[in-house]
Formats: sequence, C-alpha cells, structure tokens
Amino acid sequence: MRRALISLAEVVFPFVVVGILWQAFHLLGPFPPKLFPGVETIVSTFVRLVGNGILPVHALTTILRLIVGFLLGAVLGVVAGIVMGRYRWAEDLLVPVVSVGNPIPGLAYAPLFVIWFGLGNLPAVLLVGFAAAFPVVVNTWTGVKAVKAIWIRAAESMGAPEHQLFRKVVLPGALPYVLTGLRLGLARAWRVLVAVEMLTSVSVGLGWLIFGAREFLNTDVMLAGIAVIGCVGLALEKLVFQKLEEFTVVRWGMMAR
Amino acid sequence: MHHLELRSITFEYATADGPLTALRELSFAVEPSEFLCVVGQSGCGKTTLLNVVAGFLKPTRGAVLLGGKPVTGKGFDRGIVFQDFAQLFPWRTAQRNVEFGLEMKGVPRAEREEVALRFLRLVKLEKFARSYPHELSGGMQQRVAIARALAYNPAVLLMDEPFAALDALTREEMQRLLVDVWRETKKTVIYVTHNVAEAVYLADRIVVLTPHPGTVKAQVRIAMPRPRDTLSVEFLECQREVVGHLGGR
Amino acid sequence: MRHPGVVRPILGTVCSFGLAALVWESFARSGLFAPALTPSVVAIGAALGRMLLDGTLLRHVLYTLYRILAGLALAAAVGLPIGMLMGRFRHVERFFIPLVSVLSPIPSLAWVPVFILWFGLGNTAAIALVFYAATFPIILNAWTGVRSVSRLWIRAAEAMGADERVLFQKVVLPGSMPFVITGLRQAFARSWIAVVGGEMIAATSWGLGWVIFDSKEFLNADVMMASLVVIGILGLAFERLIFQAIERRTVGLWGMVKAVAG
Repeated sequence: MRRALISLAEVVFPFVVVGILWQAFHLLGPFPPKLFPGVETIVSTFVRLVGNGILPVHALTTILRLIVGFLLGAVLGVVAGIVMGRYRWAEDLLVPVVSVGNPIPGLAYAPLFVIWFGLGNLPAVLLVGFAAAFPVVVNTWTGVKAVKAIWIRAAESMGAPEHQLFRKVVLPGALPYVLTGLRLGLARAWRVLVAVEMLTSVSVGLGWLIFGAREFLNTDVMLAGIAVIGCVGLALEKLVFQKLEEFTVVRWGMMAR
Repeated sequence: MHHLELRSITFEYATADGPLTALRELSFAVEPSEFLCVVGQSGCGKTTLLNVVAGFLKPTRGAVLLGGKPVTGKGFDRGIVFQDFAQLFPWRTAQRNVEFGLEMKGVPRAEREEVALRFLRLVKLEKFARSYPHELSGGMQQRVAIARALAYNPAVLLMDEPFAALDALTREEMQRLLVDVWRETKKTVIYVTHNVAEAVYLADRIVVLTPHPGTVKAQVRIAMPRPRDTLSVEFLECQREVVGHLGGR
Repeated sequence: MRHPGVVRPILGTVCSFGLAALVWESFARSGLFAPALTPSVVAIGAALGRMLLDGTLLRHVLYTLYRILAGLALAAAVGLPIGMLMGRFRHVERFFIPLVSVLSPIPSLAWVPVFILWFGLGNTAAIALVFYAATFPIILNAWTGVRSVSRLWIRAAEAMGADERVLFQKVVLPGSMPFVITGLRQAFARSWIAVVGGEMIAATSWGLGWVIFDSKEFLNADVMMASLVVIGILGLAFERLIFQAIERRTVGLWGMVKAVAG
C-alpha cells in the first residue's frame, strides 16, 4: 500500500512540476490568457467536454478509424515482409520501392488519396493502413532474415514442410522484430490520422476537434484534445503492446524487459 | 546389408579460386544400434560430413545409403543434435520443443505429450517440461535437444559435438547420461567430435579423419565394457592409439 | 559480370523502379481516374524539369531543409543531454519517464494549431514543430544507449582512474553511439513528416509540403507527384550520404554494428 502510494507520487510529481511551470508562464509570460490558458481552464474544459459527450464521440471515431486502418496495414505489411524475407525475387523487387517509400511521410500522400477516394472515412482508413504498412514490412523482413539458420535446420531435420516452417518457426522467430514494426506502424498511423482529420475536413475526430478549435482561438479545447491523444497513445502502448510482449517474446527470453 | 553406409563420398565447396575439396572418397558403414564416433582435428570436414549424412548438403560424388536405399534431402529418418544451445525454439517450452517432430508427423496431441514426457524423463528433465529454454542451463538445453532428436524415432541419431560448449564437469555428466540413453533406446548414433577421450568413452568404433581433404585414416574398434573407467590402462591405450592415428602420417 | 555483388542490387533497383513506373503508367492510362489526377511518368518528369529550371524547386527544398535542420539541431541540443542524464542518474530518469511516455505518443501535427496561435504562421512555428517531433526519438535512444554501455567498460575505466567527466566523454558517449545515431535517424524521419505536415497546414508559400498542398487545390497532380519524388530522393540521400557515412566512420569501424554496405 505504502509502496503503491510512493510510486504513484513519483509518477504524478513530474506533472505537478510541469503544471506549476505552465501556470507561472500563464501568469507571467508574454501570451494573452486566451492563447495560453491556465491549468484550471484546461481541466474545466476537459471535464465539460467529457460531460457533454463531445470528446468521447470524437475520440471513439478516431480510435475506430485508427484500428481499422492499422489492422489493414499490419496484415499487409507482415505478409509482404515475410515473402520478402523468404524469397529472393520478392526481395530484389520490393526493397528499392520500400526503401524510397518508407522515408516519405504518409501525410504527403494524403492529397493523392483525397483526390482518388474523395473525403470521408475511406481515404482516411486507407491512408492510415498504407502509412502503417511500411515500418511493418521493413521490420518483418529484417526479422525473417534474422531467424537463426539453426532453427530452420532443426525444423527441417524433423521433416517440417514449408507451410509449417512459416507458421511454427519463421513467424515466432521473427516476432521480436515484427512487434517492433507493429509498434512503429501504430505510431505512424496515429500521426497520419490526426493530420488527415485536420486536413481533409472530416466532420468528427480528434484532429478535427483540435483544428476546428483554431477558428475561435479555443486553445483550451485544443489542449484538452491533445491530452486525450496522449492518453490513448499511452494506453495502447501499455495495454496492448507491453502485454503482447510480456506474453510472447519476454516470456521466451528473446527480449529483456 | 549395413544400416547406414557412406559410399565414396566426395564433397567440394565452390570458392572464388575454384572448387575446394573438403571430403575425398570417404567410405564407411554403420551397423544397427552401433555407436560410431568420427574424430578429427578442427577443419577436417567432420561437420561437412555430418551435414551430408543429414541431407543439408548434397555430395559432389558418392551416395549415402540408409537401409540399402540412397537418401536424398532431409527427412524423418535422421535426428540431429547441434553444438549450439540456440538450436531449441525459444518460443516453445521444453516439452513443446520435444513434440515438434511428432507434430510434423501428424501425431495426435495426447500421444505427443505422452511421448515427449517419456523422452524428457529419459534425459531426467521431466520436472522442467514446462520451462522455456532460456530458463534452463546449457547442459539442460542440450539434454532437451537430445530428447527432441529422439522423440520422433529416427533411424539414426547424428550429433555434432553436442557437449563441446559445456564445462568439463557437466560434459562428463552428459557423456554418462548419453551412454544410458543410448543403451535404453538402442539407437544408431554417429557422433562427431575432436575430443579423443570423449570418443573412446562413448564409441563402439572410432573413425579417424585426416584433414585437407577429409579422408578416413583409420578405424579403431573399442571393445571395453561400459561404463568405462577413463583412468584404466586399457582406456589410455585406446586413447594413445587414436591420437597416434591423428598425429602420424 | 565481373562484380556480381554490385551488379545484382543495381539491377534489382532498376527493375524495381522500372516496374513501379510501369504499374503507375498503366494505372495512369487505364482511365480509372481522370488523367489530370494520375499524370503519366512523362508529365511528372516534365513538371520536375520545369520546377528545376525556374528555380522554384531549389527554393522550396532550401526552405524545407532549413526548417528541418534548425529544428533537428535544437532537438539534439535538448534531447541528447536529457536522454544521457536519464541513463546515468536514477532520479532524472524517474522524473522524465512519465512525461516522455505521455508526450511522445502525441503526433507533432496535433500541436500545429496551438503553435500557430503562439508563434504565428511561418518559420518559427515550423521549427517548433520539427523540434517537438525530433526530440522524443533522440531522448529515448540516448537513454537506451547509455544504459546499454557495458558495465565492464565503466569499471575498467574507473579502475584506470577516470573521473565522471572523463568517463562520460571517453566511455559513455562513444559506447552509446549506435543508439544515438539510430535516434538521430528516427528524429530526421519524423522531422520530415512534421515539416511537410506543418507546411501544409501553416501555409507559408514556400516549402515542399506547401507545394503538395497547394497543387491539390489546383489539381496539379503532376507537380504533386514531382514533389513526392523529390522528398523521397532527399530522404534517401540523407540516409546514404550522411547517416551511413557517420555510421561507417564510427560504430561500423569499431565493429559495434554491421555497417550497411554501399
């Protein structure tokens, strides 16, 4: 109990420090209060937006788009990465495309997707999937190439046919890399999605909420929206990826915690 | 008919300066339930030889016959234990590692578990069935690897210096255990090592290889009863004989 | 085929781009979309040439690069000390971890409206944005890097009489280099995203992101595609010419990582 309290205090303390600094800047800094609202304004705005259901609706829409798009990109990326890692022709063919496409920010494709697919959910989801696929492909490919030759030999000596080899040796062997790729892909999906929601005039979503607040200089609404984005991102990392890791690669001793 | 026979195996590696002969005209046979050790200095082609028998490498000339039939490629009929501890699949528990070969054969789950546990018991690891490889010591991991290579009942067990990376005390313990396992299962074993004392302790017969290219220098039969006393005059005589073949021309 | 090791990847690259161009071309001519939306490879090349000749391309590239490099330099100046101190001192680590783990998943673009309100449209907002995007990868990697420095090296240096300053400079800093380089690399990639996005939203009439967004308004798909190509080439050039060169001369030379060939 005492321990839990201490560790809670340790987590809260930095935020208190930042809050105090923020408040000091709010009171003494060069910005007018409308542009640099105090902590109390931000918190009360947050509570109000949650209470009247506005924030939850925007957040849920954004999360739904994120998940659908990300799953699309993840499946595509893992499959492409495995094929690249196992077959020389696929590697020769895809590596250059991926290595040029990967550094291009996903957002740069946004106008193209809008031109092609119009506005709304479809281009947003497709773009999120497209952007998320790159890090997944690159990491899966690297992971498959890093699967120890001795595992493959051992499995082959026990008579494993190609499809079993994929499922039972190559995929779990590459999993530490695949997980890293998925994590990077998700972060990228987040970034692209928020930007797309800002730019392509969808009518709901956290990005839209933040961007729309600009019209009326509602800095408090923007900051409340940003806080939600931070919390959702943190929750996905802690509740999904860290758990996934604990149950697989950490449990298997392939990755230190 | 021999159980396993190597007929004038020649193996050449392709290098930048043309082919390099690793094995030349190598022939010997192994009888059922025989424990055969192949001894030679590092780089004499021992591992190449084992990889040829395993089917990972295709001999440039010659053939490997198992039960009179030539073997091509990999198959269920040969089990392998490597030197590297990392050969176990880290994402599977000890028991699931041992089950792998049976899974590939399509053996139903209940039977798989039973067989796996039986072989883990044989290597005295039944208590660690649910442990993951990284939770086991090096010696224990090698025991799991032995159980795994035996569990799907291959006709021959191939071992590539499986204890070379272990400390001396563990190695001795493992050698005793291996002899027990071999007597229990009556498996045909080809065991590759550079350690002469180990070979004399384990083998029914020792094939001595000389390097560059690898050829059979001599074959020494070890008739001593088991368990063998490593300090007996007889043991040391055998050891001297094998070392003589290795060193001399 | 005297150099099969060189010819093969080049051949692969040529084939790959050739194929990509071919797919694009057939897509463009398929009539699936209006030709104005999917310009042919020739049209994209022409747009690229036009922009190159009238000097606008150079100006856009310079603006964008200036914003990236300024933001990146700031981020390194702030992120490297924080990350290294986190790796070296427990209480610094405890203080910063909660902040970093809440702030780093926030896409930098979410801050664009806020930054525009604070700094107005223009270079300051864009640089602030790049700074935000680049700081976290630098912090996280420097932190991991310092923690990954082998205890043996530190003990050995201490046994030879190194004080904290020497230890930091001669052991911790080079020892964490592989991670620091990775961090800078990731930061650079994220800077691109931030700056392109920032330029799209905080339109300033110069910069590659602005070109792309602007050409959408007028349906100039050829200009848009040409700018995308330029972004890709610049990214590849930085990776090849700067990061891989640094890597080869430091951690690659020291055998700490396998340097990428070529």
